[in-house]
Amino acid sequence: MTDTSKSAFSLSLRPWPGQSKQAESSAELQARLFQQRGHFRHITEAGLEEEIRAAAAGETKDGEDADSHEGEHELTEKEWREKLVAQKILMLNYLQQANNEAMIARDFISLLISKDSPKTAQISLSPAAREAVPMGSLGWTRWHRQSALEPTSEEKEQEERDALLAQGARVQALNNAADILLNAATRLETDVRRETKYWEQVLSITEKGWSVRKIQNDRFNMGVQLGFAEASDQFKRRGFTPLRTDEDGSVILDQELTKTPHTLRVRIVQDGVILGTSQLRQHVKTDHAELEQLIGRARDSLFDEELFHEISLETRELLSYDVKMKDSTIRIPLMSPTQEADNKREIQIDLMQLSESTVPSHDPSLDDLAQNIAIALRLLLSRVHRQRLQRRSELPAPLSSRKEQKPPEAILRPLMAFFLHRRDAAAVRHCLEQTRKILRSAGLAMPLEFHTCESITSSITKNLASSTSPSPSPISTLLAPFVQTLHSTALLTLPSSSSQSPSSSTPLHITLTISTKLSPPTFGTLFTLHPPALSIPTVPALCTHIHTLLALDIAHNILGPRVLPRFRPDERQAMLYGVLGGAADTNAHPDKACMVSVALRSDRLVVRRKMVKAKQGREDVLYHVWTAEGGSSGNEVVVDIAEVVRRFVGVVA
Amino acid sequence: MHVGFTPKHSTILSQHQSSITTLLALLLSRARLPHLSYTRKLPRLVVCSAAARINLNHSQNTTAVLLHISDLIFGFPGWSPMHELLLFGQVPRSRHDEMLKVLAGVAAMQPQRVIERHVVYRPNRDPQAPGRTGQVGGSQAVATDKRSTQAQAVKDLYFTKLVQDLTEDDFEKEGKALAPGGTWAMQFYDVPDAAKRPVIYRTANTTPILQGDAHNYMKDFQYNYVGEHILEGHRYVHKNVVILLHRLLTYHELPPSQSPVATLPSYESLKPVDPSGAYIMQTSVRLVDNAGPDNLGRGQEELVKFQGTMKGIVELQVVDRLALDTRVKYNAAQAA
Repeated sequence: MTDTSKSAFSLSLRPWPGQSKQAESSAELQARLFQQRGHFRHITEAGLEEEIRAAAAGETKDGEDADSHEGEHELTEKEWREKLVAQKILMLNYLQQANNEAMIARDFISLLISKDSPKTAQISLSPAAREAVPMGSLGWTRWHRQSALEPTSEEKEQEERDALLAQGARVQALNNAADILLNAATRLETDVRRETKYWEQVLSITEKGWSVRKIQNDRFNMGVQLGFAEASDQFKRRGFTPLRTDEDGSVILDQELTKTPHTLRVRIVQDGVILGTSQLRQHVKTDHAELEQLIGRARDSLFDEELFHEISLETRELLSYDVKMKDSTIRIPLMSPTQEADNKREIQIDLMQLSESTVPSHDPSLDDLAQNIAIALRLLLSRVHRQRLQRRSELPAPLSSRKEQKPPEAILRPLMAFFLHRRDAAAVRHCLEQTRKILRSAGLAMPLEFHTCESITSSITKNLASSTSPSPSPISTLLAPFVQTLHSTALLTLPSSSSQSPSSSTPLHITLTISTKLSPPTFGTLFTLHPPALSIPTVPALCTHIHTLLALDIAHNILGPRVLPRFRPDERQAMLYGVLGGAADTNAHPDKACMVSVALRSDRLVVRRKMVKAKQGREDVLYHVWTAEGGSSGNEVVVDIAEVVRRFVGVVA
Repeated sequence: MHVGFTPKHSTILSQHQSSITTLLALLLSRARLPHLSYTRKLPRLVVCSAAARINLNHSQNTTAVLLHISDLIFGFPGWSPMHELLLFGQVPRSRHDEMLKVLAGVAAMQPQRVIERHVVYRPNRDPQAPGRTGQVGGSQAVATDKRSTQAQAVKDLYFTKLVQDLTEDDFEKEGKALAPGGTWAMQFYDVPDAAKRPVIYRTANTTPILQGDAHNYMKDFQYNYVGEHILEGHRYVHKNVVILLHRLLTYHELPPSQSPVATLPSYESLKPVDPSGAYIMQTSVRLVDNAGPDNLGRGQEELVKFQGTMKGIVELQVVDRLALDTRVKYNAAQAA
């Protein structure tokens, strides 16, 4: 039906028209007719009739088939189908190609506009193209050029101007670059200078023995460790100072280094008059000091501040020892071995700023004592530090919910214990020496031997010189006896055994141990006698007890057996019962019955003879008193007790 | 009679406890028996429970009372089993010296030298076959009582150690090696907990033996000597974490024996168990018994934090819990 002669291949993509021919307008019909049959002038009646006839004769084939049969041989159905398929493939190829080209064109346009309006381009640009070519990589401009051949003079001028501009811009850019480089070089140079200066300072600090280390989370600066590793937390934190730099590389002094240093001052004060002051460190002014000096100054200050802090904490536990804290000054009564007026003296410890002016002390001899106390306190704090390290190095207690309470560190207590011990030991010694003098004046000997805690020190120092082992450190060994319980011993031989001939049995001794301890459970000084095993807490009670013992010894062991063998000793007291003349039984001469008593006091020895049955209105008492002066004065008067007693009783030796 | 403390025997003979305790307390307070060794700190000890066998021995005219006390348990006041949280790491020989310095820096303390002699003991009794309960042979009785069921459950037996603290000077010295009391301690470790934790958790107990012959004590306790080795290393303490960088050494040649060697060989002749000479780094946090979840968490946190600190220096890990098993294994051949 289609005219095969026509080269144009027309294809209708529209659906096949519907069945109702009536709906067709005459114009459409005519167009169809024209297309199917060609021009009207070729259509003749005869031709149409023949066609109808052929159709009536059983020609079932389509007009198209009839048409194709005309020029060529008849196609079988298979061939026809193949051809159709081939045509279809061809058609599809063409379609695809067209589609492809259209897409490429669209991508190209999209890419072209992607520089100016990327959003619009993005909508239409295919993903493949988007991946292959970056957006905005293609652009377009429209060039206006009036004539393609010769540029006009105006254009020439323009071009020259443009070239000049370009040159100028280039020079400017180069200058800029040079400036930047130069700046960088200068900056590097200053940096190097600054760093060199900083590190030189750090190196000099290190060479002086300070430990310098990195600061955590700070890559550029170092810090110096000036505090003590075992200081309590708040002071430990302050013991590390960063070394920051200023613009020209010198180290900025940290607040810790520049603030006025503190120092511990120990004074001996009596009635508000300062008698002695410990030596203070020389105050180095911040402006003139070298960095190392400042660090050293800060370290000393920190140490003294910690010391004062620890002492203040300890003070709270020592109220019972009359240790007070008033106006940030710790006041400790000075327990001096020489008594009387000295007991009003007190030790005052305070923390003062080094810049403060000081009042010169009244009595330079006490400066040494104050200085010694200050040194002792510092030594004891360093001992506390060592102990903390030791405690930390030991196996820790297993974790539990129980909170461990930290008792205040012992710094004041060992010091006070030492003073207390010295005072008490001296008091005991004084009492015993006095007694010995009294006894000597009565012709009795009482050898005394003292071993004070101070004498331990000399043996330790001797041991230290010989020992070579590194642990424990010498300073710990030296301090050890002073932080433990202090012991002094006095060995007194009883007069009875000392006056005997040396061939007799072993002499009888009384050992007196004086021990002082102030660490918990808090004691003062305890005096222990042996034999008899007995502990007495005060000096007067002890003296009374010793005097009683000595009086008993004199009465029962000297007077009884050697002077008055016939007299009967009292079981409980230093008394002897007998008869004047010492000849007969008590019952035989009741009016001659008498008793001899011995009494020893701290200042005198008294021997009394009293008649049991005193005559009326008459105190028949004979007595003799010995005092310490009798034995101590230059012209020593010794009145033998045995002679006196014999005279009293009327016994002849 | 020997005095010590074992955690695993605290339930023994509870029904006779009061009477025997009184008797023993009396004996000990008198301490008149020559063969009776007792601790010097006796007044501070509390008798928890005791086991004793009293034999009446009739011979001719006299009746002797033989009091054989096989098991006497003392507890220190406030002394109870502890628990340990553990992590292990390994340090090759070449890095040991470097590690010592690193740890000294981390813990801010000098290394503490540790030389310990570990003497291992095995219970005399063989363990029961697995799965078998106490009774042999069938029983018609239905165990309804919970307590009787528990009594029938398989009881594990454990290796136990005696540990002696030594110094380098103690080697090659006669008599020093067996010095009774003082330096000895009894160590018991349970199998680590099977729970999934970032650290190992186990029950541990160390009882210092204050006085008496430790080996005889173990023998009377029905324990057999197995062998011994030396632990050598350094200890650090970082807050609550105890760091023990150590290795185990064995004697060059150990003659088969029933008791610990009397004289230790020279220290130089000891050979490391690991021929490469590598060191083990054991980090532990100790907890009291019944420490509660708070403390457990605290300890665990601290240990894990330390693990983080040491990251890149030593990898501290949770090891296989059965590698730390102290139970005596059932051996069918031996049992037969």
